[in-house]
Amino acid sequence: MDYFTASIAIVAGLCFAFGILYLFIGVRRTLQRTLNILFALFSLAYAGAILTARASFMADSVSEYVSAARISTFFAAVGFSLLVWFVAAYTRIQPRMVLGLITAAFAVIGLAAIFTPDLVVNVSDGVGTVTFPWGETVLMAQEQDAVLLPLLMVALLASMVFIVIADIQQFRRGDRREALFLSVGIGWFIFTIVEESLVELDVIDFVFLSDFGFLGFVIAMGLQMVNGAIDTERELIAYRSSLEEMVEERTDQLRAAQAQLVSHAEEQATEVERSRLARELHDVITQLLFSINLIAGSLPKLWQRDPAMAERSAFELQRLTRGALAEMRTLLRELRPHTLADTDLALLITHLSHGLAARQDIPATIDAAMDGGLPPEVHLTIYRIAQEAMSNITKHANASTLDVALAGTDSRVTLRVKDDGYGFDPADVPSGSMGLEMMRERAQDIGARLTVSSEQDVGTTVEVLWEDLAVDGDR
Amino acid sequence: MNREAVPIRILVVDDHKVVRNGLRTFIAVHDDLELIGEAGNGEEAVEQCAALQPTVVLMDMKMPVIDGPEAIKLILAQNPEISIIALTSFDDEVLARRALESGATGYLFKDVDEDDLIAAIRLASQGSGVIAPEAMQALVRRPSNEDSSYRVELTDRELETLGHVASGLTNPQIAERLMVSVSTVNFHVHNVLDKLGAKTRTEAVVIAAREGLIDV
Repeated sequence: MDYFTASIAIVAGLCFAFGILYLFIGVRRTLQRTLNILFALFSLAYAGAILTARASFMADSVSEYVSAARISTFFAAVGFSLLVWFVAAYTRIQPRMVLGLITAAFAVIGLAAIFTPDLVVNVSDGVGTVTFPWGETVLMAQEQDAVLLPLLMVALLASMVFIVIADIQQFRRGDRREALFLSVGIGWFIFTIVEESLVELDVIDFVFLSDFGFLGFVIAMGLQMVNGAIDTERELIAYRSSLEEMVEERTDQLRAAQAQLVSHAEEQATEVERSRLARELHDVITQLLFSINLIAGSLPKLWQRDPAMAERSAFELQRLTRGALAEMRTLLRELRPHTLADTDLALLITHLSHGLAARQDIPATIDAAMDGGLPPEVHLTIYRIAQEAMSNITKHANASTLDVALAGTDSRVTLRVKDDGYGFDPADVPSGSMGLEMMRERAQDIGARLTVSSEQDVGTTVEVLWEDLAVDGDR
Repeated sequence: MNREAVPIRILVVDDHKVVRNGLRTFIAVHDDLELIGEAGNGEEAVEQCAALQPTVVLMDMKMPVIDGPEAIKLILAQNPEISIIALTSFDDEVLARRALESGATGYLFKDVDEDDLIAAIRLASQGSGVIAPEAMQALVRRPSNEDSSYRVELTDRELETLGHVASGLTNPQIAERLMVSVSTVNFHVHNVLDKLGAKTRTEAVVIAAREGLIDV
């Protein structure tokens, strides 16, 4: 039975499988790619070395033996230099000089084995046989005496020394488990190499174990690399869960901050609205009351001096107080906007007009009457347009009379706000004139028609017409 | 209150027509006051002052075109002898400080009653100022960003004079109280303004109050 050659064929197959497996891992996995690929190439090279060695053992002729042995030596040289680089990557101990020299030595040996007839593999002493205890016989060169053999020995020795030193340093550094796996693998490997030399020298009578030693190394390292991957995975899982916790925590914080921001913004909005109303109060009511106070205080004296003027002032007082009341109502409605919708539009427009008249101290003609209620959005829009038109009069017109007319049913309404102030040239309205634009947009929103006619030094008239088209169509 | 034969020439400046109308009626019933003009904003006020040379200007602070403090500066640059009373509805520290730093003689709110208003106008016509208590509180409470710890050393006589200035007395009245000549009082007041770095009597009172030299 050819137990030996059969079993090393299996070993080669296993190495080949490991090589393919780790090549795949190395290509797919970004983590430790160099390490995995080095390991894969090293395993493949060794699988090649074992298969060709097996061919040489079973060669039928000397020439067949020689060609197989030369290829086997080449693979072994490549494998060994890859092994050294693998250990360097694995232990992260990389003396470039040492690695370079060892690689160069193996390169010389590998190339010499392929390209020269006898520098490495020398069969000048003939080829003999070795018979294993169970009767299996393999071919083997006698007394090898090749020129480069010492170099091979030195390179092998240097590799072993480097590997052992790197292993010890790795252990010392604290990567104990990694170092122990390496020492088990490499220890067994060295032991089998020594054993093989002893068999070759006929000191002991046993099979060559180096190929099995190599398999042991591959298995040990393969296992350890899987271990590393598993550890990494565990770390990743732990990291992810801590990350999730962190994200959750941050999200909570963010949510709290957001809530705070929202409430802050609300407070701020309230504050802004309050100061707007305060300003309006100052701007409008205070002025009116100040004037009312002055006129009322002057009235007794005025009566003695100039009864006619006193009478006029008394009427003015009435206009001012009515205006103050109207302004107050308008402001209160701004405080409680829902009351806007519930109040008769004619009354709203009347208050606005009285307020404006008092503010500007001008007489106003007000003719406002509604016969029926408008849809809420129309009601509100007409009010806002009137407000805007009157605000424009306050700001720009310097009018001396005001004429306001409102008439409507539940499906039709017209509003006219007319002053006799400065007016303007409609063709020459600055584009930043927000007031006019706003009125137009508002009118458009409810499908109303807005007409603004103005002439310089004559005055401005703003007219709005809204009709419920659906009702019109039915009629 | 000794009334002068020549009425106090007043310019009213306010962008609210209704306020100008009220002041017009108010001035009309007082014989010692004469309304010589009205302005609707700061720019008009500067023009009117140059053209009409009023004795006292009653001026709103928040106005379009040029606001009150700015207008005060421009008016005083041309006519330093005009007294300007800021008349505002806003209880605004910054505005008050700007007005007084611009050289306003007085600072009143629009809730002032008739008697106080007429008294302030009469004092202003003699160069003395009146500051509404609320405005004064605000000014004293927060010093302006200048060096707040400058040491001022006033003589006892100067302090005494300053106290009378703060209570709104005119120089002749102070001279009477202190039993010295008017020119001596003028000298003391001049020194006080100098030491406090104030442009007007009113500003001097504000600074003194802020520095704790006098009580308000």
